[in-house]
Amino acid sequence: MHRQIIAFLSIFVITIHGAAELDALELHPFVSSGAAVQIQGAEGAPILPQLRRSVEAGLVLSGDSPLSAGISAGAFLTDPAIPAGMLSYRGYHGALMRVMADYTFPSPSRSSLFISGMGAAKLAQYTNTELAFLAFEYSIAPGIRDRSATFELKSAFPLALEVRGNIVSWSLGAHCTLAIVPGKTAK
Amino acid sequence: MKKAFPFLLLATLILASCAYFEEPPASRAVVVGMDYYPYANSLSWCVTDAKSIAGSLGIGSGEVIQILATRSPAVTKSRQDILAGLEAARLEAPNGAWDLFLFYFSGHGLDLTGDLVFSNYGDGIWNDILAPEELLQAIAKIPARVRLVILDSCYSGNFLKESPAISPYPADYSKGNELFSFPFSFKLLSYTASNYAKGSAGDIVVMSAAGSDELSWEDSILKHGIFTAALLESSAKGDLNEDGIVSLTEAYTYARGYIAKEWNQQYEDDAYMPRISGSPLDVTLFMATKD
Repeated sequence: MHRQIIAFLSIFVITIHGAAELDALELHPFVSSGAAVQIQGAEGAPILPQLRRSVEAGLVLSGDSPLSAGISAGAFLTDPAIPAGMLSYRGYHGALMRVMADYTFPSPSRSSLFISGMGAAKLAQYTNTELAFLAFEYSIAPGIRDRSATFELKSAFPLALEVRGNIVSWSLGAHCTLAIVPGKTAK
Repeated sequence: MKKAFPFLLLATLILASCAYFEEPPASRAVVVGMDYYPYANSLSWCVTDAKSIAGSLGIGSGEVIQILATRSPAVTKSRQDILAGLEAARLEAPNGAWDLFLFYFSGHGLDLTGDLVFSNYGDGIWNDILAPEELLQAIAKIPARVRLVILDSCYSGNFLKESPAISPYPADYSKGNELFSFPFSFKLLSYTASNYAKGSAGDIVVMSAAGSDELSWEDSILKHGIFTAALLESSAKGDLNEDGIVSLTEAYTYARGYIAKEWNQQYEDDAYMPRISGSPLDVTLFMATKD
């Protein structure tokens, strides 16, 4: 399983950056959590905000190159919208699987800017019903990463597009990721 | 003048939004109860269902509720009466659209198809019915921000056009939840790939008493259809998030639990489960009342 994950993540890095750096790659675990305000509209219905929270755990493959790739799995919860007049939007929750690719901009300090591109598949159910659906989320997130001897803290601000059938919603939020970086020494 | 323009624009927008929110919601309901069937087994509590639902709805201060009910041979209701009621709702829509349009039906549903059955059905006349497509097409013509259909009849799950979410329960609920089964996973994937884009939040939201292969029951002790009794009780006990309103989803959740507990445990062979369509929209159904 471990080898399969490495192989899967290596596809991203090798494809974009070349196989020469494969030896320098390391796999390390991370946990992340975040919240976002999601808005959606529908034909004839109002545009209303919904709060979305998620928690994820995963693995990231990185090396000396500015490019890294990761995969994570987690759970999310989107609250129902506060009704406007008589209409509202249902809340939903479920599990997600995400792949991501980060590009870190060179920096002389231990803090650096990065930009992340992510795609996620979600299996969800409307809260308090048995109704299930698949959704897909695509996001781009600028952020700051701060690296110490054993940890890396990433703060990102993802702008996401979620597609459920022909229903599209946008969200903007904040996401924090804590990764363990074994064997690394801060310079 | 150029500097004043943004302020004028802002003031116009604020005034326009105030005007929008001051206007009371104008909602319309067509509520049908069918007790009397001269050529089929008559029912006892459908008119009571319809009148109780009409009396409990919190569909807005501008509400117009049309009750179409038959309890005796003196007044019969045919499909034409129902279609005329729907046409009136279409023609009388204020400022182009109702805030909410609700169609409620309590009566017989036809085996296999779920077609709604009216007074003249039987004795050689077999067309006094409304098929799902015909009813939904008539309702789709009514201008409304959201159109809601609630059915307390046998096989009423046939009216659900699930989208974008689908139910993991088969047409007969007693066969169990298939959420993590291979056939349902395949259905979810194929639905996502091919059929996903057909539905939208602008579609009709449907809540049915039963699945497309299930019967719906009434009870002489409750003096209501079981499903309708549960809906009515949800106005007092179904406000899950205690925000003072009982949404359609909350009412559905309450009704599902009520039938599972009060009916299905006692009558396993006649077990059934309410269904709801997969629209992302939710609607205020009742103002919560104190139990």
